[in-house]
Amino acid sequence: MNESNIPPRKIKVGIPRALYFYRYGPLWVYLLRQFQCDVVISAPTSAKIVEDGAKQAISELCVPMKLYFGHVQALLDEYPDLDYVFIPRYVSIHKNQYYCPKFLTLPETIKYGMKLSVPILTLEVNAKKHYGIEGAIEMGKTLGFSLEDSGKAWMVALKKYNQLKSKMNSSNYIDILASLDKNPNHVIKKRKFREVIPKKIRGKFPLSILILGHPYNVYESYINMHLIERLKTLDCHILTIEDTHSDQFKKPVKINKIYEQYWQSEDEILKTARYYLNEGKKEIDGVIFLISFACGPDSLIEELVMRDMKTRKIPFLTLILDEHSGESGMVTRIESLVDMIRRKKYDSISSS
Amino acid sequence: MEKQELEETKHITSVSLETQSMKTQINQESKFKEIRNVFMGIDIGSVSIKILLLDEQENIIERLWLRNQGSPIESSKKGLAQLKRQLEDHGILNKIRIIGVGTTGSARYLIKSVIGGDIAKTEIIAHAVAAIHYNPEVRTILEIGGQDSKIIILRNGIVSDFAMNSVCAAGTGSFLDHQASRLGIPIEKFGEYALRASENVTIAGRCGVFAESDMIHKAQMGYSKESIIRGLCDALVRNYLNNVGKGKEIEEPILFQGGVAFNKGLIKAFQEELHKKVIVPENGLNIMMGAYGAALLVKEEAERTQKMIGTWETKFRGFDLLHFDFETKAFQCQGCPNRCEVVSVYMHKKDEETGEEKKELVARWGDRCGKWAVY
Repeated sequence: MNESNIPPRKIKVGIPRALYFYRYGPLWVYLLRQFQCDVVISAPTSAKIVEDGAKQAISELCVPMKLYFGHVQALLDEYPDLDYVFIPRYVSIHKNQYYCPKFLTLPETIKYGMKLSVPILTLEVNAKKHYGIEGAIEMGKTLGFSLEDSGKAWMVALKKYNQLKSKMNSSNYIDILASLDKNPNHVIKKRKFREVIPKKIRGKFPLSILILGHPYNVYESYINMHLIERLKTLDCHILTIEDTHSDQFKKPVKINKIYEQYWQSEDEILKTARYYLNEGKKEIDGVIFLISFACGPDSLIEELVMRDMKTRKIPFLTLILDEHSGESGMVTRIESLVDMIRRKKYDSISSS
Repeated sequence: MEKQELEETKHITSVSLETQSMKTQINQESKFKEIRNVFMGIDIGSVSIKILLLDEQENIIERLWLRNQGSPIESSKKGLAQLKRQLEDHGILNKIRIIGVGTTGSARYLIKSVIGGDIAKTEIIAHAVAAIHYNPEVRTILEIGGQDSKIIILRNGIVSDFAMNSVCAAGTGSFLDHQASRLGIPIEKFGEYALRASENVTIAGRCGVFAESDMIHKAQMGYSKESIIRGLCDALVRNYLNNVGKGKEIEEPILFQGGVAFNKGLIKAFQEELHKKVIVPENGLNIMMGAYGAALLVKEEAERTQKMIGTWETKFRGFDLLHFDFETKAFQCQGCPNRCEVVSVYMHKKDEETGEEKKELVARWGDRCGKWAVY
């Protein structure tokens, strides 16, 4: 497509609602809108999307990746007139720190893994290529924009995103992400839950639970079986990485004297964990770490965080997510954790 | 012929365990002078249902164990009928008033809706509370049930950590049951066989399926049944400690709970592997710990609620429940692409005066969005 040949209708770009959509979704939508695109987002995860994803992806992949396949399929099924599928390539945002290889190769994985006929629009975010700006210019070129306009578009989108980010917290996060999707069929219905705590006692022994994990596990309520909502019905206040001040994230965490933290995607988890281990220890009663089955970095970081929590005697629970998980196993685990912490509180209240 | 024998051993298993637990339960001062308030704990798991009655002084008044048959609803009705019979036999049916019902186990919510329970707590908490009451010093609980296994770490009488088997049921009661019937020995003899073994055999215990093929292989090599069973016990203990007990500080006193704790071979294997003493609650209480805990928890809840808001009333439907029919219906919701299987439980109740039959929805669940949910 060259510059003079601007199509009469807006270019339609679809974003799969998976992986880093749960972190950078607003940024992508702002950027694509700066490029005059009509942005559509795949439907919230459903049983069909999980099934499609599991069918198309190779079985060794982690669940979030399988979901990504499912969401790309959902986009193609719902919007046959799609011009591009937007698949970003996240390489690094700090020098010497990298995202998981699955993020580095995401466009190719999907293109060849699904034999995609719709062209891919990609945005490379790479610390060695001036973070996102070069990627954005590259993207603008594909869409027929000049270097200057593309650069400007990126700056505007980034500024808007940063403004939004400062207002985000765990309670409005899901709604903010949902508001990006204008399709009325995609409204995520709020789920009702069994009230476990009797009305009269509710609110008398509130607990504060920190949920660690990748945003695509923490806010993907289908795959984590509505963890946040469930904990709220158990009279728990939720804290996540989004509630932690970003000043905490400036210094890299050193695992030991030789190695600095290498995985970008685990960095924020470790930093948040460190904050609540030290300064923020009084703010939490317990920690739940959500990890995806078959995630390499998670399996390492989980062990480190677990050891740290153990030395500080903070109750800690790991929940492993996969596409086959039944609800009952998870419910038993979280109810046990909450009961365990709450009984401790009762005891300390009655003994004092 | 052999099959028939197997069926028989299974049957004997359930009866013998039952009598074992019944023998010890009769409270000697069972001739109550006045009506006592009691709390009921029900533990309904994958294999069996356990019911226990506790009075306000925390004495165990009645208890029973039944193998699950059919659905949990049927089992719980059978359990209640049996409880009623036992109470009648002991002449105390009219001397007690059930003022609180706590449920635990994997079907805890279903049973809570059906019989009118007051609280439903997880097995972890129920087992821990029961263990603390049994032995206030307890620091570790090993619990192996019908289909799951767990470890609970307690420090100073408080649960500090726990873990459950994640994806695999190797080494739980059902697996041992299956292997026992395959080897043609009654499950309660399993332990004795293991203790009689003269040699060590290593069985691959990582996975139930592989363990079974390895057992067959070892049998074909000519090892005795005794050695193979001992090897299996060792493998299960290794598997348990490496998976469920991974990274946990297993300190004494250690309580071993759940039906599998009847197996002396496993107790020995645990003691040898840990180099520590493993205590099994006496008089068959090991299988009752969940129900015991549920009863203690509902008592605690009742007391706390009483203190906080001044009143407490149980939701228990009473033994009349035995005359009600329960019916479950399932359908697939077509509301969205999730296609959830929604299950409804209805209670049919005959009005004594008018003879009119009333149908009441007591529970409905299975949907992801909660639009059908009734609890």
